[in-house]
Amino acid sequence: MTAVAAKIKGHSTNQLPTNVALTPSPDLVVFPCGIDVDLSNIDDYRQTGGYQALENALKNKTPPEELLEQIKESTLRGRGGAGFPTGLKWSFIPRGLPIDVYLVCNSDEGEPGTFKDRDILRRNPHQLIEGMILAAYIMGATRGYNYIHGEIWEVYEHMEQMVEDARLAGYLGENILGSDFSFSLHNHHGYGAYICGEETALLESMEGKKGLPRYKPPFPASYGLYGKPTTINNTETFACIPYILRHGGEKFANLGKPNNGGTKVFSVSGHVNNPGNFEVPLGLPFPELLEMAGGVRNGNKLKAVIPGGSSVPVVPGAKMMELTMDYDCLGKAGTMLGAGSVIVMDETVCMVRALERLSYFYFEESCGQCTPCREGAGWLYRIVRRIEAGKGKEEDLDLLLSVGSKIDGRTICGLGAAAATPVRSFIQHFRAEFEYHIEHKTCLVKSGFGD
Amino acid sequence: MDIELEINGKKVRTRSGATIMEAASELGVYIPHFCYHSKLSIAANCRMCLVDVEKSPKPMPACATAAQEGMVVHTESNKAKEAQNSVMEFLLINHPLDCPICDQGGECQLQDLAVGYGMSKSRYTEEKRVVFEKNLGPLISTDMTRCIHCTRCVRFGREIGGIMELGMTGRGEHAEIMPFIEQTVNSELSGNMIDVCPVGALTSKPFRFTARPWELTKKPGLSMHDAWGSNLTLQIKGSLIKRVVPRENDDINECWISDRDRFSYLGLTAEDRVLSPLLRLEDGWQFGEVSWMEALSAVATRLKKAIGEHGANQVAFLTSPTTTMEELFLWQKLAQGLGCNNIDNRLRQRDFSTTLPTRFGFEIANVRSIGAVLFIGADPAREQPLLATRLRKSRIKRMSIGALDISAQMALNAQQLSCPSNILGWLQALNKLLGVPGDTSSSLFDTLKQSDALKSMAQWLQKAKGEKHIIVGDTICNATDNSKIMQEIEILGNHIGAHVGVLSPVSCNINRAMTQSQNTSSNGSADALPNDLQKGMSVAEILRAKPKAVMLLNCEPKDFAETALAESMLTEAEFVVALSPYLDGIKEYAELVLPTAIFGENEGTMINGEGRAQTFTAAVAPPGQSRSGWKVLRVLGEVLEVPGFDFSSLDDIRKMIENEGFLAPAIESTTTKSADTESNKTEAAKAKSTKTEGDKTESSQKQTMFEIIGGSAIYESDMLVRRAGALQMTAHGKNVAFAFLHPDDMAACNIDEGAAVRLGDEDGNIWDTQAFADVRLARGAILAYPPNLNHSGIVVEALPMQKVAS
Repeated sequence: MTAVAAKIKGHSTNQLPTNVALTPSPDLVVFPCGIDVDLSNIDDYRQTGGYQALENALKNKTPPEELLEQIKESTLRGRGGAGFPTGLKWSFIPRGLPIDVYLVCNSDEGEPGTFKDRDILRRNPHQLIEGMILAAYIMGATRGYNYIHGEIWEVYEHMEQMVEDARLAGYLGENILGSDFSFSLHNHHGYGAYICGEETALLESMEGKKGLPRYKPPFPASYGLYGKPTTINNTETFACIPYILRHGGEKFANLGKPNNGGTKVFSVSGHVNNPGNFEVPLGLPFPELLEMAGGVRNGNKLKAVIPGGSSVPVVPGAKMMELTMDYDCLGKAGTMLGAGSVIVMDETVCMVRALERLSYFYFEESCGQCTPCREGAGWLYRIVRRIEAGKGKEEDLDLLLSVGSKIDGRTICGLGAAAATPVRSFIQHFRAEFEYHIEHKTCLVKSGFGD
Repeated sequence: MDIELEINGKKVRTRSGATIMEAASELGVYIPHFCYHSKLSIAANCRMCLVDVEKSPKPMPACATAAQEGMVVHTESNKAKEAQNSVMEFLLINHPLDCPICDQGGECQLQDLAVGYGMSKSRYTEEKRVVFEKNLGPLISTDMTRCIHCTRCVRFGREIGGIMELGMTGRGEHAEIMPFIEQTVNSELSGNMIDVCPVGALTSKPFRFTARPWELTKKPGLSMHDAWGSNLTLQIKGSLIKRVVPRENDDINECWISDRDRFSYLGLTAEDRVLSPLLRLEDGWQFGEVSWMEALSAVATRLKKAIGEHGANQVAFLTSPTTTMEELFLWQKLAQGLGCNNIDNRLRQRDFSTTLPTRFGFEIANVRSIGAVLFIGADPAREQPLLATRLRKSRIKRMSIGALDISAQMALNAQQLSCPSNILGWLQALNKLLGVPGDTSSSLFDTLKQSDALKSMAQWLQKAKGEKHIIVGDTICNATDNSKIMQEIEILGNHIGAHVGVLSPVSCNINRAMTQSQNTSSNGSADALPNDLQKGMSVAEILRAKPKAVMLLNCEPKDFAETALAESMLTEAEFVVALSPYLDGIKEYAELVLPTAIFGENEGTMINGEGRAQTFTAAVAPPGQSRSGWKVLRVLGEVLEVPGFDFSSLDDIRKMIENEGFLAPAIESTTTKSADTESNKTEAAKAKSTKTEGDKTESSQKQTMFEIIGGSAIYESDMLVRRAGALQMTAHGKNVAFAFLHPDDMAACNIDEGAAVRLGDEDGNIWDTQAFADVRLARGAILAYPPNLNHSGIVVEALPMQKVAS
């Protein structure tokens, strides 16, 4: 497979090009004209074929079941991290019941290394809006909410304008485009808590309560927002829908590899020359993605990669170079595609210090509701901090692994496991470095944090 | 539909929808837990109850996982044990190991489970979390560093107490349980948070550091402060009650009690406790200690002398509603034996021209099956705090609640605020609108009949489904014109098919039936009265007739609605005998004080508002020479040579009660009965109130008329509670000193928040206090508890005075 998106550059600058010809590539889904092209103007978006899928569905009165079949055929998997098949998830929503069904977009992107949803909201918001309207049409939802991370306030304001534009154009509101289908969409912003990206905590937050994950079951599909059946999907997932319904599920599926259909936006950060978002087909070999990001800085050696955001296991550089970027391959390698947030670390990184930083994040972001995570995340962080400070003890590594394993699988939500994962994988792959740190009370890597 | 599952190799059948925890407890299998509480919602946050469910890769929380047909659960497998041990280790890393100085030590769920699931040595060597204390008021002591974040206290407030007074702020390790900023815990049920706290984070402030749990002997007890009849466990060290906690009874109090029940024991050791019989010395100022026999023969001599000189009708026998059934029986037997029938314990009632219902009209356990309740002038949270918890729970299951009320309590299905004097008008208009022919004499009738509020109230009543109840509160029961109001309520109740019951004045319905029968000829049980006895006077008549001799049993002037009148009656009486545990209230009046036992030291039977009789025994010996009231009365009866006082036990008394046909049916019929004749007194009261109407127009240029709606304050309801220091320090206790008005009324009278005001009654009594705004009150109402006003005319004047420097 070749990198069809080789020409797309990361957004190393905030200066967006103007007067770019709007020539959508048939091989690109989320950013059809390239990552730098701003399609916020509703006319620009329509020029690229935007809102066609919606207009067709409403004009032809396509049965929702038919559209859902297309989604299933596309093998689209949730882009927020878990990779659950979207078509299957949507089929859980009870149909024909005389109760409200809600649709929620999770734009609460807050994990270290993630920054793809922000670009979708900034540069291609109407594709998300169209995707949500289509999803609402398929599931019979009349109301949708877009929960936007609290730390990107200007994006929230931008989205308010975009939703208003779509409403004025007749795509939102009562009797959309003269059909009997009505759907209203509202933006809602959080205040930056990582835990609110967990779907049930997000619902609690949206209901005006403290963002604490709910115990499941019941799952949101049966008891979600305000106790009503609710579907929650990631921003990028919704942004894929218009393409699938315009070009067909099969075409989308063929963009990637079997069971991993479509393209994926990877947010490459860390020690690369050209960090940024890159939309590439799923299944792209990692070296090609690394090359698109300009390769490792200063010609340094690749030490490690966290391929899916800070909560997925780290992979040593050499092994990473053999993998392809898709759910199944990374899963088999013992890590995860996650949200596609590729954190690249070169040989100057001290893995103890890197882990200290990650553990601190989970310690601070644990919601505190359930015991293992509330107590364990702090314990993990304090041990790693002690090792980094040169006060480590021989038994600390086993203690870290033991504490991590006691959190994992015993919490209400996945944050506890996410706190334990970096600890386990860092020690698994870089144990010698931790042992050196404990024994010599200093870093094996002199430059510390890759500075 | 039942399902069958297997727990630890044993099959158990349980109802569909039950959790693994519930199924296990049916089987007698204990699953360790902290956040789970059978009366609270499921939080599943402590993770202590993780169990091994076959086919599930992860251990599952037993409290939140629904049992399913064919499920195979292991609560003690390696996988389950490992999960439980891990959670215990996490709980202990930040928990201080200060069990030796922790009040919870010895009765701590964490301490107990740590023995079974904890390690002998901690692997945690980092610094521990420290959490600053919170001030939760005079009842609850905090050590928040010990908190394990189970949120039981938060859920209690939200789900049972009805006010979310505590919440969890912050995230992760920074999460803390705290009251809202600058607030503290004020609800009348707050003490239950101490019980639900599984660790030593919330403990009882009055009990703190006074005993260890294993030193305490536990004996059953019964609440005497309201008509609920809550079951208690009294915890005793030596000869003192050190702590009171609930005794679970699902038919009455479940596992909750009110703060009044919990902390009133503090009044047992009040400074004015009488420890030996006292006789007023000849100087008239001091008391001298005398022996029981001296005291009793002095009573006999003086009482006989008084009867001989003035006749038996110049003697009154008064007692409080908290008196036991046996004592009450002996009290009337003693009085009647002496030829006197002036007996009453309805000290807060003012209009006796109708017979009030004496019961709730429902069984406590059946509250959940009630379809609709209309409260009239009631404040459930103050009068019967635990009724409020039952209602709250039932409302979730679609019970509909309306109120024709004086102050807004909570969001109800239909609510109309009104001054007590206007409630009659509302009822007349409501009855008319519902098509019931009746009295439309109220001046309010014409104004109200077109109002939307009235229409929506009527619509609500018509739409109400299921079993209906009208529950009348003490504001109405104790109103000066309660007979008219009760008449309309009865008409309304008959029309909509509702039971009529009273919530009863605070602590004022237990055992009421006994004295009522003495005063009302229309009551069936009064037939048992000897024919030669004339009809006795009610308390309102006694207060005005000013008898020459007054016998008091467990009551003092503050127990009377008309405190000032009671004081003047006692001052004018030639001879006052008080059978009382306390001195202060009666020391200016009594010639003789006979020390009696009270709560916890006493024994006998109480009848609660359902009509349920509950018998209790003494948990501790009465202090000093004080004795149980029934024992004192028995000897007094013998000394006075009244026949029938030769019994030897409480059982004998109960047999006599039964033989004399006094025991009311278990759950009494609850419709009101009008009296055959209205007493002259009521006519006089009517004349008086007409006069007041006239005064009103005259004086309204300078003064503003308000109606007092205080009734009996929650922590002023009986002798014991009044002396419980910690309760007096709460907001409910302190607010008794102030007057509360609707902010609009304050603005109209130019009264600033906190300004000094003077309240006065038509008898010329005045009470100076400060006024504060309370937006929940009806316009024209003033919430206050003036100790010296005879608010018989219910009209008082609020005069703005100079500002109080703050």
